[in-house]
Amino acid sequence: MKKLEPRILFRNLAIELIIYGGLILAYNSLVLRWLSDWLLSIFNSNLVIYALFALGLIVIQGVFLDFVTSFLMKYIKLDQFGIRRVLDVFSNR
Amino acid sequence: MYFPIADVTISPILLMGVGFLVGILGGFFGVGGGFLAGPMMFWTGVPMNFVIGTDLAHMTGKSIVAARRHRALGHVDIKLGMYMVLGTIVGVEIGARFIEALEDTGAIDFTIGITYIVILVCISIFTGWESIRAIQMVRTDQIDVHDAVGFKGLAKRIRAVNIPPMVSFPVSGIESISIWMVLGVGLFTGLLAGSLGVGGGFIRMPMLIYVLGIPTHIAVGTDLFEIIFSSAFGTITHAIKGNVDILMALVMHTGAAIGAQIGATATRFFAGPKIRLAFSILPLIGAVLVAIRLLGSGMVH
Repeated sequence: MKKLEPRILFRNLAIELIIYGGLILAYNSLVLRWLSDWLLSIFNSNLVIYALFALGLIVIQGVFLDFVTSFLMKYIKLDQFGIRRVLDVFSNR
Repeated sequence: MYFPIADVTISPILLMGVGFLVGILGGFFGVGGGFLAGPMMFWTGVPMNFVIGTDLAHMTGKSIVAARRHRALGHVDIKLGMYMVLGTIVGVEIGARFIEALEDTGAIDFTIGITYIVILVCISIFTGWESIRAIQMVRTDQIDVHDAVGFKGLAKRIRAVNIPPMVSFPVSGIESISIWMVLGVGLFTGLLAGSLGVGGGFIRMPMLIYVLGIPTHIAVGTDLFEIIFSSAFGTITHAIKGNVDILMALVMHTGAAIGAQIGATATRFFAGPKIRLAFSILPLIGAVLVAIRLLGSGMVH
């Protein structure tokens, strides 16, 4: 991995965490809003299916959202250029 | 916020806070953090039967996030991790059956509790002593901080054992080691974890460093990689027993995922001996928590 200055690394990390935090909050809100009752019903009726869905939901939260964040970070080319590139991307729209 | 599966109302901010704290520790030290998260979850009001299972579920997600971050930093030896997983799973199963067999003899909780405290205190003292020695070696002998380990004798002897098949772990800088030594370390840590009813990250991390001679940063990342599998397995078994509130785990994981990324990235700025010195405090906290639990349950008079 290419070495980045601590200042740029912290800045990139902060932006990445803001993106990731936003995605994770949106994901949680969707699950709590739409799947809460359904999860309760399978918890009461079939624990094996519940166990598989429980693992699936937490793995999706871990893998998929991280993947989306990494994709967005690459899209705005934050690793190479830092925040100026982000501003360029948005100013060109 | 009401969690219908556990049938309890708990502040999501509190749960996210617990997750965040345990996430930072997990990402930085390569531990699951169950020894700390468990009592804290109980304190926030999570019912006891949901504490362990829900903690394992959030630990699975947190370990994935932290291990991915460590992998990007070049700190995960996947090949070593897979071998360790094999040994650990067998060890956990043997340990759990051993405990089942001992349960009939009575006072098993007290015996396990005391054993746990002794092991934690020994790990803490040893890691603290070794890391201070390593830091002094860097200062006085002017050696590279990445090579500074105050106790290398055991790892050298283990690597000298020549029982085929021999394997190499280039990521960890191991040219040749007997596969049985790697599986043995996994088995031993799994046995302890299974017997003591814990994830075992704080046992495995020092074992990787002192017994196999793995560099600290790679030990942290590889340990997290292994925790993904052990905690996923634990999540499934506890969920089947009805002890996992996945909605609560997802809320906890919101904080844990952020904390784990910060903790994992922070390892870039600390040399191995300093990470080990900071780590040495963790088992002591765990020992104190177990001692409090033993005193509270009236097993110690």
